Amino acid sequence: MGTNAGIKEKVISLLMEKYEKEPLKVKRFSEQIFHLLEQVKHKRTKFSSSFFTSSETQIEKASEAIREYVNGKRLRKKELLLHLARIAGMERRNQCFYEALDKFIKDLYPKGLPNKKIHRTINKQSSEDMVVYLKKGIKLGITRGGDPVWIEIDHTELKKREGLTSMIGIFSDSDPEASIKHDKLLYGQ
Amino acid sequence: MKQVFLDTSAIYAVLSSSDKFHEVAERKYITLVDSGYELWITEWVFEECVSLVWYRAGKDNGIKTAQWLLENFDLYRFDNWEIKKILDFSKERKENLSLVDFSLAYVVKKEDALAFTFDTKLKELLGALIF
Repeated sequence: MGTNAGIKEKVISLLMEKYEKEPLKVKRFSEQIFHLLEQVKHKRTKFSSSFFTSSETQIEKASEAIREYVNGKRLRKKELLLHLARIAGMERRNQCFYEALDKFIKDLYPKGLPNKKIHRTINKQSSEDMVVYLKKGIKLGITRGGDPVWIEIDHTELKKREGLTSMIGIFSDSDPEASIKHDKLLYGQ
Repeated sequence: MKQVFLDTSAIYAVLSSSDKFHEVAERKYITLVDSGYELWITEWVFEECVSLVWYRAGKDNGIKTAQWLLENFDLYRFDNWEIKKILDFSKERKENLSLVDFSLAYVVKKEDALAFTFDTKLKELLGALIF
């Protein structure tokens, strides 16, 4: 990689970090940069079978609807699932998203999830064009036009998710830069 | 499903609640878990990460981390011919990186995978192959 390419990648990397941390701030700063970063992200994630693209307006609308659902507003199942799919497909999940998903699952199975893989058909008339991972263990089959077709809840995968997330923040270190200074800490440089 | 290789900086930032990258690391890591990526570590990152936790946060946490990594991640083991290739690759490159970092860059490029790291030099070396 030449020097210019290296600098270019570094600039993109720094902007992507900012975009992923505070997308709305970046959007307010420059709509053009925001949309370019969205394209970069799409390119980097287009391999995923779960990729379900939505515009920023659709994402904002979905976020608002999900917030209202968490606060008690009733939503049609298909509508809620489409909103969840928009957010998950663009990898913009947040706490409210997870609360809404948990609430939806609790409404679906008030006595708790059975210990097996569940596949529920939502729309018998259509077949899915893609699969959106709402979260590990919960997949949604959806048409290109945004019509949810089925939902699959896999107990084993949900258990795996628990394992994968069980060590987050398990200890603290007196050096807040230990992660990036690990070479120096381990090898002295 | 796309493979993502985690490096020591990313894993440590996920584990350590006081790390300055913890919040970002947690958010990105949960995205990786929930979006269906295959999570991989190399055997050298495994060794380096466990050593770092062992040294910084104690033996118990070191053992817990080792067990967690083995139970939850796919482990990439290098053959002898690959180690030779990694050494050649390290020799060709001018970046001031450790052998573990070069090995990670090598495997990410070879597998056409992505890397999850906070190491600036590694990010520069891998360019668009960063999650």
